[in-house]
Amino acid sequence: MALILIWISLAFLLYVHVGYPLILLAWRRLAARPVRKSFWEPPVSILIAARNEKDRIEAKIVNCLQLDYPPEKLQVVVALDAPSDGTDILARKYAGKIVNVLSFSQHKGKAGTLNGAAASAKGDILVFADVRQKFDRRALRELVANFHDPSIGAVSGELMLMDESGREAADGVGLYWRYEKWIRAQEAQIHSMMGATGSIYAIRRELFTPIPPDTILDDVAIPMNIVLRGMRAVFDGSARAYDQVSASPKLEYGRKVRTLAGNYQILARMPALLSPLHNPVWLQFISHKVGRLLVPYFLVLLFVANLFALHGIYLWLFCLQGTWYMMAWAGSLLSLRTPVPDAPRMVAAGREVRRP
Amino acid sequence: MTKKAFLIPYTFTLLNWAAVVGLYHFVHKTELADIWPEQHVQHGSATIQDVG
Repeated sequence: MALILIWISLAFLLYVHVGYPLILLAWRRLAARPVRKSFWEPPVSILIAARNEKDRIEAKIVNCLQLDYPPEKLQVVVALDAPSDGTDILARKYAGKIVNVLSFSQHKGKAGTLNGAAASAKGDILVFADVRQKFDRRALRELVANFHDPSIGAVSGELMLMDESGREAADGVGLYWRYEKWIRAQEAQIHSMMGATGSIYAIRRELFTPIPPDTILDDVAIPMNIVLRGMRAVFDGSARAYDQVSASPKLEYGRKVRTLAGNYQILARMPALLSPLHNPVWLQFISHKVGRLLVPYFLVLLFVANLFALHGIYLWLFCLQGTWYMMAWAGSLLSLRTPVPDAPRMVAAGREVRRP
Repeated sequence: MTKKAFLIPYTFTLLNWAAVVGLYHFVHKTELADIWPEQHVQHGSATIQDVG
């Protein structure tokens, strides 16, 4: 019995982390569906939802106004969720023909704030952005070019996590994020990615439907709604936003808990995603999103089952697992000693961006 | 390089643990929709104060 459980767990873990990426690679080579991208300039609304962001809101608005896009076709909707730190006062300094400030007097949460922002958007394309991350100057143009292809309903840009030296991070969290982006890129070339990057994604306005106010992951719910309606949600690595990588995996952990709880919420609220009859990317969704949620339980199953089979190759397998977890423990100690940079700098697209 | 060799299993383990904790929060309906960290105020219908 223990041996059966070991092999089932191993097969599952290998499928999720090795088999599925290899399938994606082969699938993409055999049946890639390239996006017919072409530069055009439809009216665009950038939606920024924020609460108390007095230290960052001005830099974000300025960043939007400096984008390479005709100002007469640009609307920036700054939707503020009952701020209490004066963010609204700072944002109103920029209010005018391009920048519209919506300040809600009662708390709505991020999803509710986004619904409000979308309701006042006038552009044909809605671009979702967070206050924290800066867009590359050409990001908007690159995102919008994808919508020239009528099959495209949503586009995610690429979030670059930079380290203190200004290079893309390749340690722990940075490496994980690069792996995740690679998977998304493969999925998008076949049909659609399984969710967008919250800090930079865009959709056609006519495809937006208000999301429940307690939605945890708008950047999964909105694109997957679009995929269920038969349109594609793709990834474009040339539309970039920049952020500083979390100084330690522990900081990323909190964000990840929220993301994974959000994935459970998506499963509960959008059961059509679990049906191969309704979800055109069912295999990818099960392998990527559901598979990842199940991995920890199979890791525990593998470890416990292995305790009952400590002989031959199974003993080696147990030693491998033991070494892995010992290294994880040592990594946690190393992580505790990682200093948190107090003046993060990012070098983006040939120019330096200093975080406010 | 040595540090990276230790941080990879740590990150992998921590992010997997996050999936378990995420399920706990989902089952217990913890308020996670609020990404704004510092507040806990009552929900209600919003009114637009200002459209610039």
